[in-house]
Amino acid sequence: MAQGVATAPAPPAVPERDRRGVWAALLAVLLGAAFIWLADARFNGYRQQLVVLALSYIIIAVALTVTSGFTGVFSLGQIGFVAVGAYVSALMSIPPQWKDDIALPGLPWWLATLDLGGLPPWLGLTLVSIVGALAAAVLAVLVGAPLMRLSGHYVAVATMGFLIIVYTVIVNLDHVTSGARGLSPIPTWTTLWSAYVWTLVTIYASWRIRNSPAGRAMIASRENLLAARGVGVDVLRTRLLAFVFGAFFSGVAGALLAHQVGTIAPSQFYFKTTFLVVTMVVLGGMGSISGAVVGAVVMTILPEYLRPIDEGFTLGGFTSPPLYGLSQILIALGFILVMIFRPQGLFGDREIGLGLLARTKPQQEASGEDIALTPELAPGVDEAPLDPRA
Amino acid sequence: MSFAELGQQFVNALSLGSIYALVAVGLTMVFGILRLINFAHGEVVMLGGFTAYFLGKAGMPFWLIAIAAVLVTTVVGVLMERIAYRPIRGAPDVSLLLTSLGVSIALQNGAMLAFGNQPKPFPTPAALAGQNQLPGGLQISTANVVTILTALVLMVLLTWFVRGTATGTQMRATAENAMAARLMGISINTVIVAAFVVGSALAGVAALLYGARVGRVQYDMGFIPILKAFVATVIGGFGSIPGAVLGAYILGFGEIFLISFLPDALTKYRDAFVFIGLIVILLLRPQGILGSTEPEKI
Amino acid sequence: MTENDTARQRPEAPPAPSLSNDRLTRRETMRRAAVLGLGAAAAAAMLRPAGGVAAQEPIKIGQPYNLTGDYASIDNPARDGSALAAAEVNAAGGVLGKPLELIVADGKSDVPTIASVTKKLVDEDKVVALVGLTDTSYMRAAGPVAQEAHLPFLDVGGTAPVITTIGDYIFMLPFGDNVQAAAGAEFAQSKGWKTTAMLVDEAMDYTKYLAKYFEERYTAEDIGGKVVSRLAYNIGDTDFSAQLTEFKNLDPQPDFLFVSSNPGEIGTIIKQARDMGLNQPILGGDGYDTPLLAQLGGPVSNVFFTTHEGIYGDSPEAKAFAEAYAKQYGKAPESVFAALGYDGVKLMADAMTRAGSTDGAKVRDALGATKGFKGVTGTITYENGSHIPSKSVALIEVKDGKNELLQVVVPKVVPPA
Repeated sequence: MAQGVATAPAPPAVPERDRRGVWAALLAVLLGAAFIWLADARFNGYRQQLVVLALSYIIIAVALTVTSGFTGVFSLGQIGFVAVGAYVSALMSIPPQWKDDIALPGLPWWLATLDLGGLPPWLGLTLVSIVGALAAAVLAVLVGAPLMRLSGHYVAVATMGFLIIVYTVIVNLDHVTSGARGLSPIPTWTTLWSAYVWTLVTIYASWRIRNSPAGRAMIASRENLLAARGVGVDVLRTRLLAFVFGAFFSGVAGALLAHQVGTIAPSQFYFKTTFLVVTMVVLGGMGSISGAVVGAVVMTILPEYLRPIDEGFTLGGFTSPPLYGLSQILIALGFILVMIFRPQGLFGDREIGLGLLARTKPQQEASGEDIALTPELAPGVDEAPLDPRA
Repeated sequence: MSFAELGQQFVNALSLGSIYALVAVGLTMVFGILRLINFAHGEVVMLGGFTAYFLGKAGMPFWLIAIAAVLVTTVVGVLMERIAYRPIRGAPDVSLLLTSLGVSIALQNGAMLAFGNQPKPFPTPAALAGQNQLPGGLQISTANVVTILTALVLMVLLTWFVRGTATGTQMRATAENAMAARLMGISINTVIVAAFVVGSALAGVAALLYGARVGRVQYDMGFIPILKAFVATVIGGFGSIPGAVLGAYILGFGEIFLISFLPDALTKYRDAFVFIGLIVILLLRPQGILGSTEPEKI
Repeated sequence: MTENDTARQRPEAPPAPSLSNDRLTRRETMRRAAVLGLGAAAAAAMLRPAGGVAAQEPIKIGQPYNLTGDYASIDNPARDGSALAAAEVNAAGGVLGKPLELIVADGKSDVPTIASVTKKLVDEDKVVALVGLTDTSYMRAAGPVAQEAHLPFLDVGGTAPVITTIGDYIFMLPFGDNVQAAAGAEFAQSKGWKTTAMLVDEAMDYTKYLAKYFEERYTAEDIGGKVVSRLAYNIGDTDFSAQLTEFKNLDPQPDFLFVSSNPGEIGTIIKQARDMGLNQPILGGDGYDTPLLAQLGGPVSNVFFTTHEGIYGDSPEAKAFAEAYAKQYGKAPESVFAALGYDGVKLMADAMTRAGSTDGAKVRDALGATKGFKGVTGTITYENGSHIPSKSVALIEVKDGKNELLQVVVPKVVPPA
C-alpha cells in the first residue's frame, strides 16, 4: 500500500507485545464476527440497518483518522468523497428501467444501459464499491494535489469549500443525480457481512499504513513539519497519500450506505454528517484508529437513544412533549466540553481498545514510530500559542 | 442587458455586499486576534432576527426593535466568548474552528427548540417595503437604499473606531503581535471582548437588514450569511478588516453578475463557482487581497 | 490493530492540566469500564424485543409525517386530522373489535430520514399498514419500504401520479398533479390570462411535475397560453431577488406568474414579489394550502391556487369535519391536509373492516376495491385498477391573506400521467 519514503526510520523488528497485539486483534475480529452472526440471525431489518450504519461510520471515521489524524491536515471535505462513492456506485447499480430518459436523461448511454442485476449481490456490491471508491480516490488526487500544500485552518476551509462544491453539483446536476429529491431505488445489496468485511479491510489497511514508513512520515510531518522535512520526508506526497487513502475508503462507505437503505439524497452528505464524523474522530482521539472505532459506534447508537427526547416520550406517569433539537444540543454541548476539557479525545493518538482485551500494560513505550524530536524544540506550524507569528 | 436592469443589478449587488460586509467584519476581527474562525457568528445574526420577530409581534416600533436586536446580539457575542471560547483560547486552529462549529450547532438547535422550526415573518416596517422609480426606468427598493447607506455609515464609524480610539489601536496592535501587545500592557481580555462587542453589534444590524431583505426569520437563517461572510473574509485576507469589507463587495458583485452573465444552465452552480474561486485564492494568495500574514503553505 | 500505545500526547493538545499523570491509571480503568459497558449495553438494547404487550392488542398503523422542516406546516395538521379520525374510530368500537393505534414518526422533511423512519415503523414497531406523507419525493423514499414488506401504504397528500408506480401496495388519496395543473391552466384561460412567467422549484418531484403538467395544458392548442420565462430555484432558498428582478424586467410584463412551490417557500416568494412591485396574479397548486402563506406573505391578495376539497365551502362533510376538529384542537383546520390526514385513516380502517383482516395483501385488495367511499375530501373510488381516485379540484382565491373558495371544478382535458 505504502509508498516508501526512503529516509523515514526503518521499521522495528516485531517485538513481543506486537505478537500479543496480533492475538488480541484476532480475538476482536472473532468477537465482531460473532456479533455480526448474532445480528444476522436475530435482529430485525431496522436494527441490522443500524449495525451497517455503524460499520459504515467506522470506515469513514477510520479513513478520516488516517487523512487528518495521522497527518494533522484537517479535512472537512471527507463527506464529499462519501457522496462521490455513493452516487457513482448507485448510478451503476440502479436497474436500467429506472434510468430512463425521464428520470435521469443526463446519463451517458453506457451507464444508462448498464445492468448489474444479473450479478450475485455480493459481487455487484464489491464491484460498485470499488469503482465508487476509485472515483473518489481519483478526485482526491486532483483535489489534494493543490490543497495538500495548505496547512492549519486554511486546509480546513479549502476542503470545506470542496464539500460545498460537491453538494452544489449533486443538487443541481439533477438530470444525472436526480438532485435534491434523491436517488432511488438502489438495490439493497449491502449485508451485515459485506459491511463487516469492508470494515476489517479498512482497519487493517489503516493499521498497516500507520506502521509503515509512509505512516511514520505522516506522523512525523504532523508532529514537526520542519524536522520531518529535514530528514527527507516528502511532505506533500505523504499528505496526498493519506488524503487519497481516506477518500478511497470514504467512497467505499458511501457505496455501502447507498446500497443499504436504497435511497440517497444530497442532504445526507453535508454539514450535519460532517460534524457527526468529526465528532466521532475527535471523541475517540485524533490519530487513534481504535478511538475512531469507539467514537463511531457511540455516535451512531447515541442518537438512537436520544431520539425519544426529540420526539416526546412517556416514562411512568410523565409525558415529555416533543423537543425537537434537544438531542443535537446535547451532542454539541458534549462536543464543546470535550474540546475544552479533553481536546485529545478519549484515546489521544494511542490505541487502547485492544490492550483491554489483551490485558497488556497500557503504558508501554511505542518504539519505532516515535520521531525523536520534542515539539518544544521546534514548534510546528499548527500549534501556535496565541500568535503564531510571535 | 438593458441599462435599467444593469443599474438594478448594480444596486442589488451593492446591497448584498453590504450585508456580507457587516457580518464579515465581526468574523475577521475575532480571527485577527484569536485565530478563531467563528462559525457561530451566523447564529448571532439569527438571534438578532428572532429578537426582531418577537418584538415586532409585541407591536414595538421598529427603531426600538432595532436597538433591542443590536443589544441582544452584542450580549450573545460576549457570552459566547466568555463561555465557549475563553476556556480554549490558544488551542490549535482546528480545535478552535471545531468548537465554534459545535457552538453553532448548539445555538441553532437551541433556537429550533425555543422558537420552533417553522419560518416566522420579519417585521419589515412599511417605510422599507416600497420601490423608488428613478429616471431611465430604474427602479430601486427602499430596503436596498437603506441597506447600502447603513453599511456606509457603519463602515465610517468602524474606521474611526479602529483608527481613532485607544481600544481600536490596541486591537490592531494585538492582531499584529499579541505577545508584544501584552508586553506593552494591553489587556488582551479587553481587546477580545471589544472585538466580540463590535462584531456582534454589526451582526445585529446585518440581521435587521437581511431580515428585511428576505422577509423571514428561521433557526437556520445564519448559515448562508456566515458562509458568504466567510468567503469574503478569505478573499480579503483573514484578519484584515478593510480586506473583509472589500471581499464582501467583490463577492456581492460576483454573485449577482455571475447570475446575470452566466448562461442560464450554469447560474444554479453559482455557489460552486464562488467556492472554486475561494480555493483558487487560498492556493494562489492565501493571505488574501489585503491580508498581511504570510501564507501557510508547505 | 494492535497494542500500539504512545505515551506522549499530540503536541497540538494544549499543555495537559495538572491532573495528567497521577490520575492516569484511574481514568484508564474508568475508560475501559466505559468502553466495555457501553458495548454491552448497546448489544443488550439491540437484542431486547421491541414493544410491550397490551391488554387488547391494538392495530398499529404507521404514520411517517414531516413534523419538522419544509413540510411541517402541512404535515402537522395532517397528523392532527389522522389522530382525530383514529379517536372517532376507536370511540365507535375500533376496527375488527380492536382499537387503532397510530405510531407517528418524524421524517424531518429529509428524504433519507423518511426512508429510515419508515423502515423503523415497519421493522421495529411492527405496523400493519401505513398512512401518511404529503409529498411525492418523500413517498418515493418511503413507499418502497412498505412495498418490500407487503404492507399497504395510503399516501395522504403526495400528488404526482408517479407515486403509484412504486408498486401495488401504494395508494393515493388525493388527485394527481396532472388534474390540478389542468384545472389551474383552464382557470387561467377563463380569466383571459395569455402569458405567464414560471418560477419552479426544480429540486422536488411535486413542483417539477406540477410545472410540467401545467405547461403542457396551458400551452395546448385549445388554450394557447404562452410561457415567456421560466426560472428555477431549490427548496430551502430564501432569497429570490435575482429571479424576481429578471421577471420585473420582462417587457411586456406577463399576465400572471405561475409559481410551483413547496409550502415552506411560497409565502416568502409572494412577499418578495410584491415588495418588488410584481403585482400580477400568482397561481399555483396545493403546496399553497398552508398557514405559512399568509403568515410570511402578509395580507396578500390576487393569489390563486388549486387544492383539495374538504375544508372550503359549506358542504355538510366539510362543516362536520371543521366542527369536530375545532372541538378536539380548539382551532379551525389550518390546511386542507388536515382533512386528507383524516380521510386517510378513515379509509384505511374501512378497508381493514371490509377485508376482515389486517393482512397486508387482503387490505391491499380491499383498498383497491374501494367504491364510493364518502370522505371529507370527496368520494373515493379506485377505478380500473388505478390507485389514484378521480376527485374534483377546489379553486381558491387568497384575499387579504384569507382563503376563499371560488369554485369546484373537473378539468375538461387532463394531460396523461
